[in-house]
Amino acid sequence: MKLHIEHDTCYGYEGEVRASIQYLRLTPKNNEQQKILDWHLELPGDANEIDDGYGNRLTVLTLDYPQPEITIRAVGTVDLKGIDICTHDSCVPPQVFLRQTELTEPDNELRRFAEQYPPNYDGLQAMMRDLLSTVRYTPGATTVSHTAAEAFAIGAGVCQDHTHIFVACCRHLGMPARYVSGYIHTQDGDHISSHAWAEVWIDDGWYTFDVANGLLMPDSHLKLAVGLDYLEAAPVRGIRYGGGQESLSASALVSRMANEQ
Amino acid sequence: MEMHLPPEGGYDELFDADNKIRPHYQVIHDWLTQTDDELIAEKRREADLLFHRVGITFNVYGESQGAERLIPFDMIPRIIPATEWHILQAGLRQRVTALNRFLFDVYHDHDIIKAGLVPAEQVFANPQYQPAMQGLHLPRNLYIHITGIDLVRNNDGDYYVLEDNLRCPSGVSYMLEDRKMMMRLFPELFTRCAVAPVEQYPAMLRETLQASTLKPNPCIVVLTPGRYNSAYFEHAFLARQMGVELVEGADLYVHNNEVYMRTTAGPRRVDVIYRRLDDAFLDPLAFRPDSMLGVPGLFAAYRAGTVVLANALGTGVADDKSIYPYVPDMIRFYLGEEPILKNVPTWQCRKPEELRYVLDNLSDLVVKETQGAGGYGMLIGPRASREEIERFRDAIKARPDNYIAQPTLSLSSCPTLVDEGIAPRHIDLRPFVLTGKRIQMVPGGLTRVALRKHSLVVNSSQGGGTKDTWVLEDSEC
Repeated sequence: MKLHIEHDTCYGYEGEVRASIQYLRLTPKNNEQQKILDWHLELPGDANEIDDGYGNRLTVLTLDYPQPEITIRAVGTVDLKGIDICTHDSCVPPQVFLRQTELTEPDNELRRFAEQYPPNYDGLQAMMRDLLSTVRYTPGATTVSHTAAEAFAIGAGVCQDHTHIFVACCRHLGMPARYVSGYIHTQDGDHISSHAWAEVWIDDGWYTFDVANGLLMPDSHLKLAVGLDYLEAAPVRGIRYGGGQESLSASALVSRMANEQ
Repeated sequence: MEMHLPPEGGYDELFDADNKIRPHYQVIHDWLTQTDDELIAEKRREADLLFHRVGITFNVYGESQGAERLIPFDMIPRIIPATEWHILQAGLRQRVTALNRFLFDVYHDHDIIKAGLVPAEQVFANPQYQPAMQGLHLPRNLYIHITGIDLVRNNDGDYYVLEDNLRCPSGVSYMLEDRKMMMRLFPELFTRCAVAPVEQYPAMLRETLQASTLKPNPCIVVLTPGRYNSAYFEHAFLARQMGVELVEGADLYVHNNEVYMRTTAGPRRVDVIYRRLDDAFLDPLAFRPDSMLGVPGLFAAYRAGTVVLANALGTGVADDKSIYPYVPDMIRFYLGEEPILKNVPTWQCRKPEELRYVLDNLSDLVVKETQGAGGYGMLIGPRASREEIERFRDAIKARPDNYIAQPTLSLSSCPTLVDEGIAPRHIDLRPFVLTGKRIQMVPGGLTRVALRKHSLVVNSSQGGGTKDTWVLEDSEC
């Protein structure tokens, strides 16, 4: 399936931003499940690209002159193969993803929830199903700073919370699990196209668990970055000096190429 | 002045088992017993006054915020004969070489893990393992430019490595100030004893930092978390002694993946950062997002190879207490040598059979948190109350992998000036090892002394003091 993506992130400010620096993980890479046909970023200033150690392409955008707003645009075309259920793209040993972070550290409630499931593919599928009914998809119920344990206690959240809770439980069960950020193509338009899901290392590959959509086959998912949690895989993470109040508008448009349908 | 003899069964640095004076302490012993009490008291007041004036202080965590305390200085030096130092030096060189090889390995090909000597999970799931370092090439493959190795002498007379400090070891400024103080107070002692000098340390450190990059005439800075940090005095001291800038995070910025320092003459490119700031605080865009102490963009500049951090990111994975038991195997594996310095036997609570032993013998053991430092989060079984032991028992059971246990070593004692006269107090030793083009160290290091009678905790954060450390160039003094 060929997809076309247009992803705009626009920060508007009350005043002028004197300077800012952003870490962007907005460039997907080829792997067994996805082929990048064309991709580019449109940025308002100087940028450098590095590999962040996890294998993600990290673009560093530095702006050192006053800006009224900052617009970041990623545009590209990719081919999702939809054949392989698991992937092997890994620059660091899988055991790295056994570690909890401040955002994933489970509390007793979450540990008890995880311990109901056997640590294997079937067990995790059951956990994924139950998690979606325990923590209802509710935009606005949480913010980006909510931890897995907090979202679990609230019983509501978005894909980021589902993913944090799921990786927290997997790690607690001794299974390496990583946070994935990217895009999803949905027919119904129920979910926004910027998305997060989990991958779990089982035997010898990374298996997809898209908790929010109850999906195991990543045939509509375009992976941008992986990390221990949202903070490490976030498509945009930045800091700015000056500017006062900030407003953010982000839109990601994922469309299936016409000639493919 | 009255000199209390050490209790039997321990190792005293001055008296041997028959309470005879060891030859390398003869001059100091005679001087102590022949000098009248009033003169010693006067010198002690003078030392206190001088230290206040120099401003050597140490913030003690857990006391009212920002409270600065003078680290007590003891005038009776700790003396190490030349022959003993030569062995220590060879052992330190060997250990630091192996630890650096280990860091290179765990961030590249993982040979020691493939060989089955260290479990993969111990390394990779360790919070100190820095994924960002995987596959990164560093100049000279150097990770640990500055290390502090804590040594103690047990009652068998042998030195043991208590822990390796590979992140931001502190204390070297006290080593230097203690020597200056002794030379000022007692110049005549230095004419009678051939004491190896230590004042070349800042020049050696500067040479080490220069060698950490392949760039000629690099711009070096010392990065401090600021004046509320417990070791701020030392950061300022070392920057001044080396003749380089002392900066805080806000003095630096990143542009085009390069680090710059704001100066009155405009931006200046920075090549080497001697950072006295933990990994987690270095870059709010890569690590703790709430850190105001670091430099946004520093991580990317580091990955791009435009700046050197001394020490490197992620060195904590090699000095973690759960990795410590494997150091002798690292030495055999990487160097094909037998370890010169001994390791303290260690039980790892993450192993069920060792955990059982530890829980059954808590009152005899020292229990440490694998992530702990500075004497916080530690149980000394023989000295602990029943409540403390039970509290640790619960904590260990809840998170066994967070703890290791060791036998209680009886640290050697050294005569120390206390209220009751001159009495034996327990000491340790932290030599500082510098690695650049080659491995260098000044003779000796920092001797810390537990000033409370019978106490085994020498950390300055726990009320310990310091002594000047003399390595003799001849075998006697």
